[in-house]
Amino acid sequence: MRRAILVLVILCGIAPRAGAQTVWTDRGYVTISGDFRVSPMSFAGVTHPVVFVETATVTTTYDVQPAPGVDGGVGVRVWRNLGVGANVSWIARSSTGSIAAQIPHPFVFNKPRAVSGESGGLDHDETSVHLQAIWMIPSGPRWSIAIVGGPSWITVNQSIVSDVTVLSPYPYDTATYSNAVSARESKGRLGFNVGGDLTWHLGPRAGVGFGIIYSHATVPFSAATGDTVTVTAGGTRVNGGLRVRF
Amino acid sequence: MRHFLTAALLFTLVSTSALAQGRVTALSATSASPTDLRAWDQEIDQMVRAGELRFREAARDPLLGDRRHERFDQYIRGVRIFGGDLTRQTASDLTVSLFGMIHSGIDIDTTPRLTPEAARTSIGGAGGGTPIGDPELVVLPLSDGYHLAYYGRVAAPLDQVSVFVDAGSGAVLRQYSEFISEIVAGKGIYGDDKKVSASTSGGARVASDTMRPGPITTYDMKGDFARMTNVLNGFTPVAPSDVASTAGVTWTDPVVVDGHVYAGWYYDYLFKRFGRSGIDNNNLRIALFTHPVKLADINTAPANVVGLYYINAFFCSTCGPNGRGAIVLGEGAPKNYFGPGIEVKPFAAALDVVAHELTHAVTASSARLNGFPFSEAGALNEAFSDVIGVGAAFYYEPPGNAALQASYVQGRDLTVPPAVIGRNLANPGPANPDHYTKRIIGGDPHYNGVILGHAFYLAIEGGTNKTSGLAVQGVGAANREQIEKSFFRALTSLLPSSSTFALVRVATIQAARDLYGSGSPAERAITQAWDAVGVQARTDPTATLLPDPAQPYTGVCNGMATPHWLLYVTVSAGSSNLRVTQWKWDDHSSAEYGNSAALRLTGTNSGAQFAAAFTGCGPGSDRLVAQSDACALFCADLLGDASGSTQITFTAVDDAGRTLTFATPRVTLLPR
Repeated sequence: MRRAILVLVILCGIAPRAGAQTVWTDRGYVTISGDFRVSPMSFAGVTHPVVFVETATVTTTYDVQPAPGVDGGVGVRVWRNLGVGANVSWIARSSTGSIAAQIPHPFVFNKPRAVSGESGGLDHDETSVHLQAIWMIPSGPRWSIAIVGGPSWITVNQSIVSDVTVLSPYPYDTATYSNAVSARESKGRLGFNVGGDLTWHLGPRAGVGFGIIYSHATVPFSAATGDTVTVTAGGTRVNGGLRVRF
Repeated sequence: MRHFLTAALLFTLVSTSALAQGRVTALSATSASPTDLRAWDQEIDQMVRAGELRFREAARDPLLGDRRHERFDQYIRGVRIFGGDLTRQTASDLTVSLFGMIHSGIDIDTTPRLTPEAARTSIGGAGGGTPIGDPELVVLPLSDGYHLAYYGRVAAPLDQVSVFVDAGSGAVLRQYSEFISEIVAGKGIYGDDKKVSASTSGGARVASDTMRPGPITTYDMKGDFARMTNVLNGFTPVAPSDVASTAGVTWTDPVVVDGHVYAGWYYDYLFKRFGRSGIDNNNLRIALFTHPVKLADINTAPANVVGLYYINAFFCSTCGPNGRGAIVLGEGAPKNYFGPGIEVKPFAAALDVVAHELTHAVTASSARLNGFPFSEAGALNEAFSDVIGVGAAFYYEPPGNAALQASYVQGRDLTVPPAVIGRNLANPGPANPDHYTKRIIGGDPHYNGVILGHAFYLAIEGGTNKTSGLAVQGVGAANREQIEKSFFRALTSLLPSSSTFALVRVATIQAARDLYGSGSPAERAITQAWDAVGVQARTDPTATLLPDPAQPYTGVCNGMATPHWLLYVTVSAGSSNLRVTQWKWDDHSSAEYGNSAALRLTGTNSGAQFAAAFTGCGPGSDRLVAQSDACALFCADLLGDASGSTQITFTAVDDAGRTLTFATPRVTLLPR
């Protein structure tokens, strides 16, 4: 949250002020942007598959890298400078999993073998629907600033690691990581968004804008083992694209 | 439900791969592609009408009530294509999905040159057992093309094997075990959790371990004593039904659990501690028999059966399914049978006991220490089993005196209360000898073996031998591996079959030197330990007289005054053969009865009399072969005096013609 507030302060700080028109007179706007999630994300999940009639522990730290995406939005003015809008964004990011596991021994209890490894190609994509309250601050004929915020519904598709396969020759006292066993799961959860958008109006209708939005939701997944893996979704997203007023 | 519908909407996937004389199609058609599904459905119906597909079975879907699943096998000119089959899912008579492997374009002559009888013989030979039923003529797709083959299953003593032989030549094309490895949870006799390495065959879990390089099979003879003895004697082969099995997801027979698991642990111990691949170092199958008798029959069983199959475990080197050895784990005895308040557990209960018996199998395939009754090798055989058994226990169990804890009491977990019938290697006396002079020539090898066991203990833990008073600086429990390896190396690589204690002394010291260097703590500890228990290289002849002190003997000794004492005398040749020419005893009375502590009685006997008297541990003779023993049991009296002492002195001539004189220690004869 502290990052989001900082963003707003920056936007306000760069907005032109002198002789500015301060009343929003448009009926609304439409945006189409390319965006980029700038914040890497990391979250961890622990699963407990049963291996050799004993419970294993598989801890996966998921690192989701920054990646491009797209979004579009629409907003309408409802009263003076206040409007409401909706924004839809989609982003697909590559995620890797750093795996540390304790795999039971086949012949004796309580003699787990420690293995670790990396699993690439764990899918992670997010489709977010942001409902937003908008406070539009026109600043002369060329500039306007929108401050937005509201609830978000973030749907995450994520490959959840539930187990690992290992290579282990007799006497099976040691093992080395081979592969991750993962399944792609999909789930949505309510979160929030807050951000701002700076538009430079090229003409009476069209303009270009740059925005920054922070959104956040925690999405609990149920792994194949029955364990819950909570995925952190959202993050800081910068975008730029077309702004159309009507 | 939603997931299912999603799956049903998957697009049809049909992939093909060509083979040398035909083509196989992986069929996957679903309602997601109705056109493909319809086309394949019609094709399937046509193949059924043409006899190329034959209906095998149908079943209702247990989860979706309106669904039905059919299975078909593919045939070519009336011969089944092995692995050519498909499933059809229908709902209200409409096909929902088709999955299968369909073969086409196979150019093969389906007339076999081999008769079914000849094929059956080939299959049985390849599988190493009895063929089950008649062989089936099949078309077998392999990576190099399609083969006309006979397929059959074989009930091998330790496995069930599927075998394919060429229908022309009878050559084996492919064979595999029907057993699939599985780890099953179970509880041992003491209620502890264990993992049973089993195999799955036909839905049942059988105690056949195929996860280790050397297979292990545990049999459950279900208390059928007659069958047990017939199997051991080779009159009856073991049957697949003899292999212990469980129908549930956990193993409920704790005897099988402990026996099978401990055998596996022992295999691992050999491998990890000594780098040995199984009992013969070539992964010979380990076979264990459990439940050889019924516990309920103990009160009517003959004493020798109780002693062998109830309160005992044993190894037989020529028994077992392959005639190369098996161990039998006794059934134990109910509370109060063996003694008031004493329960004897099934002999699978103790890891060190299972390891002890399996070490006999190691010995049988290495030093082959023979069990001649008057040979020291028999005692050494038992002794090595004791120490390696204890070593295995310390490898897996924490040290302590509770059940499932490792200690130097061999077989402590066999009884409740513990250690009633165990051998204490740390503190042997008085039930067992802690010194070589206390051995009983020709006596129980388990008893005599404790001399080595005590030396093993002293070499690890250190301490002072109670008989000799000699102290040993052990290597310490943290370094027990050094002593275990030295003894194991001596057993499996250095010792001959007719070893003596003296030879084992030299071999274990040499093994320590080989492994850890001359002057190493292991070499020092082992040397001191053998010194402490009185085992030296036998160069000079010696004589012992036991017990010392001797209590008056209450039994009858004809012609002897009262009190009298029963004494056991042993003459041991050294590095030279001996001819005994004379032996003489000197008895002294004690002064407290008014006699001077002086010579009370003396007598001299000839070599011929030696031959006549010394028959306790071998044929009587005045000649004694190098490294061997002669022994005799005597009654002695002091002409009615109440106490005193005695000593025997021997005169002999060695190979070089030298006259040697040696004597027993002077033994105290205690008053009544």
